[in-house]
Parts: sequence; C-alpha cells; structure tokens
Amino acid sequence: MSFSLLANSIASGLLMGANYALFAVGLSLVFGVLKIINLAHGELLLAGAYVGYFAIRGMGVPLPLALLFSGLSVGIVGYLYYFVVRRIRDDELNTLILTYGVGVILTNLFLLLFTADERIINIPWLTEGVWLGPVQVNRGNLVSGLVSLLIIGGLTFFLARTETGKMIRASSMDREAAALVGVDVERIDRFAFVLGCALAGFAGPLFGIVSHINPVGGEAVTINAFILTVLAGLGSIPGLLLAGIILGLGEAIIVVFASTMFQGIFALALFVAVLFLRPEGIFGRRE
Amino acid sequence: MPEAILSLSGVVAGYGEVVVLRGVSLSAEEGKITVVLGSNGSGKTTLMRTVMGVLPPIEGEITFRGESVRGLKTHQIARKGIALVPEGRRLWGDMTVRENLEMGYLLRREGDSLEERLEEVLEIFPHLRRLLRKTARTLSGGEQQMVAIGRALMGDPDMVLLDEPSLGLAPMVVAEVFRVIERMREAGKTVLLVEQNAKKAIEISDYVWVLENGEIRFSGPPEEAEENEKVRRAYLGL
Amino acid sequence: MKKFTLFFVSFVFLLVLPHKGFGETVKIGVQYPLTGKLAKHGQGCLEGAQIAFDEFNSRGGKLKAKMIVVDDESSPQKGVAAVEKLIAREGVIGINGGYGSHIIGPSSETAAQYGVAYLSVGGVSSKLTARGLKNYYRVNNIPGYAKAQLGLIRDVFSGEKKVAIISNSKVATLDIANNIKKMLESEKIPVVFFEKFAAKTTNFDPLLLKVKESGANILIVEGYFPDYVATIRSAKTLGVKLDAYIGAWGVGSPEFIKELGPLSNYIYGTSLWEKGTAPKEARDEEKTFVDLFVKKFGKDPSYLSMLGYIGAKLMLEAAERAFERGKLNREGLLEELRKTDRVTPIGRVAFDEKGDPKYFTCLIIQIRGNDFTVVYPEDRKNADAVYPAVPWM
Repeated sequence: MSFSLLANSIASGLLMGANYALFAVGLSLVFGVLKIINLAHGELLLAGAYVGYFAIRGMGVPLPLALLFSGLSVGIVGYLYYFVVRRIRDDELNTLILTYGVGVILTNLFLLLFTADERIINIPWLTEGVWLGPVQVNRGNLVSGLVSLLIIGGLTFFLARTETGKMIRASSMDREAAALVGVDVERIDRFAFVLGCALAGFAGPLFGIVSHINPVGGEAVTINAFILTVLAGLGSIPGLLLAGIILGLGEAIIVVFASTMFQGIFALALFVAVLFLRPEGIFGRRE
Repeated sequence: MPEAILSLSGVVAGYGEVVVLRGVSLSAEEGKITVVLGSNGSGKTTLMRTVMGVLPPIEGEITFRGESVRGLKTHQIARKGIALVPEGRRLWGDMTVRENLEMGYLLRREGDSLEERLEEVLEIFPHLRRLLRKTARTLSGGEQQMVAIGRALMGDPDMVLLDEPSLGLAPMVVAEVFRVIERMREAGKTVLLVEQNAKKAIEISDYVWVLENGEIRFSGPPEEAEENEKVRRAYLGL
Repeated sequence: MKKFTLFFVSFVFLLVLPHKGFGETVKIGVQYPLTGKLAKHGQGCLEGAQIAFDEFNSRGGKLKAKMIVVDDESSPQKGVAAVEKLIAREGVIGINGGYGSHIIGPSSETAAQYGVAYLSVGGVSSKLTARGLKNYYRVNNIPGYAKAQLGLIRDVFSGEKKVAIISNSKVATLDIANNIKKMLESEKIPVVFFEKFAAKTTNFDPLLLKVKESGANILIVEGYFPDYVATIRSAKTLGVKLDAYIGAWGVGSPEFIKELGPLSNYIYGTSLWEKGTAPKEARDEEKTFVDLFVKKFGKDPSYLSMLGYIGAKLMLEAAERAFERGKLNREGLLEELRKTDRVTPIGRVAFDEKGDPKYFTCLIIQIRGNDFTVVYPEDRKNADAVYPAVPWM
C-alpha cells in the first residue's frame, strides 16, 4: 500500500462525508425542530435533482442558479406538504405513515413523468480531477463538499445568531416555553419544515452530480440521512458534518485495508455502536 | 370587584377526558398581588396553563383587560402583556443565560431597547450578571429560577403569573424571590401567584383564593384568610 | 343396418381425422412479467413472441399454434400460479418465457412436475441449470457474457495484457466475474486484481486507486448503470491509466450514451443482439423478423424482442417436428426441443445435457460518439475496435 493510495482515499472519504452531511441536513433540521422523521426526504431531494437535471441539461441554466431554483421549487412543495403533515403531527406513527406515503406518491410521480431511466447531471468541467497538494479529487465532489460546508456553516450561524434562528432552537427545545415568550410556534414549525424541504431540494442537483438519479433512489438517501442524524445527535447541525465525515472516512479507509464489501457493515456497526454507547448521538448531550 | 385586569368565570378545563378545573371563577386586580393557594393536584398549574391558552378551556370565559382571550393561541395571549414563570422554570438548557433572557425580550411591544431591559433585569438580579455566558443547564436551581423570572420581566409585561416559584429552593433564595415579587407590585405590575408556601404568600398578598379539587373554596383579603379555620388548618399548619 | 354402418364409419372417421391431417392446434404458454418491476423486459419479450406465433400461423402448415399469455407480475409466487394455470386449466404442452432467474427458478420447477418443457430467454443464473431438471432449456447464460469478454481481450486486443476485474456483489454480475476470471487464467492472461463491491457503494475512489496500484491496463467492470457511472468518474478523476474499460450489460443502452456523453466514448459492453448482427446463415431470418416487427408495432425491435422471438420460434419448431412424428404431446415436444440445433440471429443454438446453450456468446459493442459499433465476434462485427482507448485519456 502506497502513501498516495492512503492519502487519496482519505481525501476522497472526507469529501464524500461532507456530501453525506449536505444530503442529510434537511431531514436533520425537520427532525430536530418538529420531531418528525420525514420519510419523504430522499424523494424531495430527488425532486430537486430532477428540477436541476432539466434546468441544467435541458435549458443550460448555470449551476448556482439551478441550485437556487431547485431549492425554491421544492420549498414550495414543502409548503403544501406541511399543511398535510400539520394535521397529524402529534401522532408519531401517523407522521411516519404519512411521510412514507408522500414518498411513495413522489416516487410514482417520478416514474410517470420521467420513466425509470437512470440519469446523471453531467457537467463536463465537474467530471475532471483536480490536484489538492499531493492528492487528486473529483471537482464535482469538491464543489459539492464546499457547498456543504457553506450550507452547514450558514445554517449553524443562522440558528445560533439570528432572532428567527434562536426562536427555532427555543421551540425545538421547549415548545411551550417558546410560546410563553410570544413565539408563534406553529409559524416556526412551518418555517423550519419548509426550510428543511428547500435544503433537500437545494442539495438535489449536487446529488445528481456526484451520484445518479433514478425514481426509486430516494429511500437510500432517507436512510443515510436518518443514520447521520442519529449519529450526530438530535438536530445537531455541526454534528451532522462530523458524523458524515466519520462515515465517509471510515468507508474509504476500510476499502484500503479490506474491501468495499465491508462499507455497509461499517456504517451499520457505527450506527449500532453509537446507539449502545451514546444513544444521545456522538455530539448530542446527555440529559 | 373593581378594576379586575384578569377574570375567569366558570372555567372548566382539563386533559382529554380528565376534568381538572370544575367551573373556576376568580379575578385579579390591577397592580395587586393575588395569591391562589392549593395543595398538590388541586389544579393550580392547570389554572395557569389555561389562562395562557396552553390548554383551551372546555367551558367558561377568560378576559384580560375586559377582552376575551378564550381561543387565542399562547403566543397571542403572551403578547397582550402576560408573562408566565412556569412550574419547573423551563429554561432552554442549551442556551446561555443571556440568550434565555433575550428570548423574553421578544414580548416587548414598544419602548426600551434590549440593552435597557437587560440592565433593568440585571439590576433586580445582580447575581446573574456574571452568569450571562453560562449555559442555563449548568446553573443551580435558585439561579435558574432567577433567570426564569428575569426572562418573564424582559418583555416588560403588565401581568406576571408565577407557578410555585419557591418550590425546591433554599430559604435564602425563597426570601429573595418573594422580595422580587413585591418589587414587581411596586413597579405597578399585576401578580398572580400560585403557591404551596402559604404563609409567605399570604404575607405579601392583597387578595387570596383557595383552590381545592378544581373548585374555589375560599376567597378574601389576607387578614380574612389568616382567620379562616379551614385555611389555617390546611395551609398554615395551625 | 347399412345406414347405421355408414353412420358409424363416418363417426369414427370424424373422430380420427383431426388428429391426422386437416389441421390441429398446439397450445403453448407464454409467461412473462407484464406488470411490476420487470414489466419493461417482459413486454419487450412478449412482443417478439407474438411475431413468432404470427409467422408460424401464417406459414400455411397443418399445425396451428395458440399462444396463451399469462402475467407473473414480476413475482416468483405468481409465476408458480401462472404455470399451474397454464398446464392444468389451459392444457399447454410447453411453456416459453419468464424473465429473471428468481422467477424462472420456481416456475420451471413447477412445470417439471408435469413434465412440461420450459424454455427461457431471460434467466442467466448458473443455478438454473445446476438443478438437473429434464424439462428446462434456455438460449442464453452467464458464461456467454464472459466468453465474449474473453474473446475481446484474447483475440482483439494486442500487446501486454494485465486485467483487473471488479464486480457488483449481486449474484448475476459476480457469476460473470468468476467465469471471466477462470477463463482468463486458463488462457494464461494475468488477472492482477479481483474484487467485488457492495451493491450500494457510493465512493469508488479507493477501489479505483487500488486498481491503479495493481498496474492493470484493462479494467472489467461487471455491474449496472450506477456502477459504470461511478467507476468511470473515479477513473477519470484519478487518472487511472487504462487501455480499455469493459462493462457488461447496459453499456449499449441509449440512456447510457445520452447520460454519459463523451465520458462513454470507447467503453466496451456486451449485447445479445443488435440489428444487422445476425450470422450469415440467419441474415434472412433476422430481416424477416425486423420487417414483421416494424409492421406490427411501428418501431424497431429491441434485443429483448429478438430473444422473445427466438425462444417462441424454437419452441414452435420443436412442436412442428413432434407433430410430424405424430407425437404432439408433452413428451414429444420435450424430445424435439432437446434436438434443437440451428443458427439463429443470435448465433447457433443447441443445448447441452443440462439445458444450457452450448454455443451462446454475446456481442461486444464499443461506444463511438453518439452511437456504438459491434466489434466482436469476428463474423458478426461491423467495425474494428479502437484500442487502446478510454474516454478520459
């Protein structure tokens, strides 16, 4: 095993980890604030990916604009979706069934509109390799990783420093106490939910660049996002980045020393270990 | 009763099938300290939560400054100028003391800036000044109670509801809490205080109500309460 | 009395007659997944089968064929029920079809209990013919894919050859990978790297880095669309120096070329049939099929339709032979099917004792620009391979 193999794998794993976090951030936000596991998260992300696909490949829209457009469109979908979720949000089982159902409906809608064809958002200059010092990484992964840092940094700042952000945090920790100081908790819920959906949509085109788009791919995204959210600790946004990196790095290194066959086991083992040893998540707090 | 700022008439409320308040009527006069006494399970906390709209009343009417607040959401009622210091403090444990206090400032309607309000609260609780950067969860019970009261005062409310503020606190701290409540009255605020510590509460009160099994069993000025046989036996241990 | 004798004789005559001359109808069951996950594949095969029946019935022979179609809904359980129905209720003497080894397995076993021939075109798993069933036959199998990849490397590529094989851990792809590895080794072509990867692998960089370290100049990827996309992307990113990238199924699909664009250029893949690739002996048959298909469906046939066509046609030809021998029943059909040996548009078809096609080999295609060429085998190719070449160098 050479230095370049190890170094390059580490770099690649780090970037992949940052991407994982980006694809999970919407689910984590909604889970943290509303305590709803949005099982349609992956399908919303795919919806964004499809919007991005047709904007970029069909109409030649530049990537940054496509990202905003995807985020906005899926945000609007999320706004409508919220009015359905709101009615049953107090019953955990019902929200699981409902969000799962929305996911199934979206999947079938994709099949109907876009067929079962596999797609990728293929932007030639993003498929190149770039040298970062001694290692070579994919430019698409790099761009997506940087966007991930930006989004997670921005969201962390927003939650920590702005008045609305503080209201979201207060409401997620203790709804009643937040309402008592005049926070319209229902408005905050709606805002957080729509923001979570919009973030999924925003990440969609980047997913289409670093991975591939097909109508049934949403479930895997949701599961991955859920695993990261649990690893990170309920609603911890910076924790999400670290959890993603642990996962991405672990997956890459395990290939170097063993085989890709162990990647899935690694993710699962990490998940189970965290559930046993730190059920509050790696970065969650103990009560 | 003249100048009742808050009044309840025939309020029935509870959780699902369980009715806790069975037709409660009471009122609080502006600028006065009104005390509600009651043992565990008598419905004191339910009373507070119903006033704040956390629990919607099943029956009855609640008015604040003559306007019905029945059916309003909690944040809407709070914005009318009522702050509740809830049982168990309910601070945001992950936030700093300063952030907790700042959240209370959301209730301001006009007037003072955040810094001015903060100064005023810190003047009432000077002890909090050096705790501002600490995370709320790391504070002692007494300190947390001060933050909870401070948070309520940040919004400069007309009326403050306090749900057992002395519960679980050391005697020294209890004394400070009661001193602060008296200061609120001096500042012209209306106080509705629910307490088990009946002796202290009656001492500072202007009017006393006794709640038992979800019903009002006594009402009158403090002197009358101290004379009342039932109140003496049940709450003053005499 | 005379009258009665005449009546009796004509009655007997009438009873016997249909069996011996004027025309008889053979019932053949056609089972495909027409709904559910595999619907697209099942529909394609069925369209081809329809052409075979049309052609058979319009040829003017004494034997007519009735096609009885059942939908197994892409489910193994429904497949078993469909076979039961075909045999018990419809009285078919042979069954054609099935798509997906997991559906064909139990379906053909059910047919075996009745001694009914089962000829499939959509099941390639080695397990299917390892069961020792006497009624099971197929026209394509896994080694045929490996054989074509081997032929490309052995006969078309020149110079030093060091092969790396990576494979999706799914049964079918791993089956090809193990086959090609064995074949290469027995031809003394060094396999310097062999590793399988999990089906949902997202980051292929480390694996491609290992391929790079192995010093291989030919990479075989046995996988599916997402695997090709991700490995090509990683190979490009990491500048893995290769002379050829060989995939398996799915490479020649229009979506593959459309989605990958220039990134797909020079990639090799396998194909069962492309228009105009029939061996010389079967050129006419291919043309007839394509013409009939275009006339009936208004589109070009896919390889699936060609498979469905050939499967149905071989079954019907066996029925015809059995009919001529006067043994048009389950047993007779089975015996005749076993004797099949002729050159079809997908190559020569004859079965070994297990029911596997002895001569089956895929085509190898190579993507060139927005289209692809057939570069192997020699007698069916339409262009020479461009070697060495990969899209990222």
